[in-house]
Amino acid sequence: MRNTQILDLTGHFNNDGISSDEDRTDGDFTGTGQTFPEEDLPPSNSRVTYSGVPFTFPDKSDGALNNISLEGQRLFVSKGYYERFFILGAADVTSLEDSLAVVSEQGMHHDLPLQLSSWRLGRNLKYGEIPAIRCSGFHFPSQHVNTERLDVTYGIWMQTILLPRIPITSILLPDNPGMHIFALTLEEEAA
Amino acid sequence: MPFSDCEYYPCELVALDSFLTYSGYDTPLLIHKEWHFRYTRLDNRPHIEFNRTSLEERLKQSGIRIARRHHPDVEFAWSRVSQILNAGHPVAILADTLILEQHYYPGRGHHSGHYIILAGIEDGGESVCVIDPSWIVRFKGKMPISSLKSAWQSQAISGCNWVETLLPAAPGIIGSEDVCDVITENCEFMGKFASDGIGIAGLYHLLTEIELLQSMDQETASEFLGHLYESVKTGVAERDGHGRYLNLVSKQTDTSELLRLGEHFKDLTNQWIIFRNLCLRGQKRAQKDMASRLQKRLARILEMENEAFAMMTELLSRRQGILNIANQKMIGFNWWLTIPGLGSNLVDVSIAIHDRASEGLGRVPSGVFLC
Repeated sequence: MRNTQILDLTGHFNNDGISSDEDRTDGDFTGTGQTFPEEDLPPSNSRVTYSGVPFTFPDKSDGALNNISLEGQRLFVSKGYYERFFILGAADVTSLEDSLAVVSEQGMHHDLPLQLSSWRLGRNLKYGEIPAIRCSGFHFPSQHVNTERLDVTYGIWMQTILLPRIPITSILLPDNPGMHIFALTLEEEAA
Repeated sequence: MPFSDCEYYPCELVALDSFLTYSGYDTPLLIHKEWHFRYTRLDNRPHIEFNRTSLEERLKQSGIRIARRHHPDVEFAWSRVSQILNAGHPVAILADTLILEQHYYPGRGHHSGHYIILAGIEDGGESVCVIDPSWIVRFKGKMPISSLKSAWQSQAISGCNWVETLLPAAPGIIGSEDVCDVITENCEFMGKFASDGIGIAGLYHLLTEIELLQSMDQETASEFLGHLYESVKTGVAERDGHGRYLNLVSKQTDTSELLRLGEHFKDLTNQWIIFRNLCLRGQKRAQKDMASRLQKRLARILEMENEAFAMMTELLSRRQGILNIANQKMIGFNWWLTIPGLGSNLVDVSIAIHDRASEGLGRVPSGVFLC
């Protein structure tokens, strides 16, 4: 792994997708009240590593926004050449595909496919992500639904986006609110 | 009994898909031939129809009959269903999720109906083998019959409901002419009735109606989007199903045009899901730019539906040539007559059909379901 840059997404977070068992009414990942169980996730603001890629896991506390529900946000990055970037994320109700754009200093847009499997994993992750975090189930306001008896698990996945050889200054996300990003890390291109 | 891989489908369709797959059929060939769109609005209730005919009618066209049964007395209903199970055939029933939650269902804390499949009676008549093929559940296991009866007869879902299915003694016959007829009929519907909210014109109509959101107060807008959200649910299954239908046809005929169309419908399904997600978000919280966001996504859908129309009409322009060569018929819904002239090999396909027909017919129950 070459040098990496963990992007601070805090200012872009617009969704609370995590609740503790003490207050399962906190947050709404899916639009229908379901959330990730806080207890199954890494500590707030902790450094985590999946397949050698470091991320900062967001704040899980009640009331905190902790992921980007994609609504066309623009993420600014330090101008430079990057090999690829990694996302910790998931789609909510069902797996989704869209395209994002990486933007150069001159404003040129380069579209790239963005694919995220549903947080609900049946057979396989649809788009070849790495199953970074697996949960025991999910939260409804009324209960912690344990799915360990079922052929279904819930989690957050690591997706990789390969970048073109252009210096980029920002990433323009699609307007696709069913897609969620919890953390993002860029890998710099070899000098 | 396989789990269904039909994400985002209503549970009844998921149960039907598992049942038909188990019985040796390719479900999309039976129930997802239609490509349709019709938009209507009554007061503030937008409504979209994504198919022309009922599920029952579509199955009937393929020689399969389903009967939705209801009886208020659980013992009477159980005696009927247990007869079918004892004959070795699965039965789909509608159960109360709140009671299923006590056993396996990932609960929502409220009553609602959910289709599950009963596959047999075990433990000397004390338990029933339950398969919940739904993409959000995927459960196989046993339940005490007493619990099942509670979930089944729940007043919250209006008593005991189950579905009896009569399969034909032998699969039906489908030929290349049918493929062309299906595509022709779909194109006629999507392109012809421009004045009635139908087809491509209906999509344009919806696109302009979404503009109305800008002048609605939040409550009215939320109600409008709520209806739209519910309405699009069946559309997602129908578009995905039609993509599967085209993919199956493509595989049997080695026809790249149909494969491309099938993949196109898969992408189209994804767009409809995103549109539905936007409706959900707009329904939940006021967003000034929601009308333009929905219009932008719908414009993309419209563009893609138009592309599908163009691809199909292009294919149909070759129809006469296709039919002159291929006037054969074959046994089985789940294998397809090759369309010579579109790149497949008749000899190889014929051998494959012969082999698969023997295997497939052996797996099809011989029509002993009650009806």
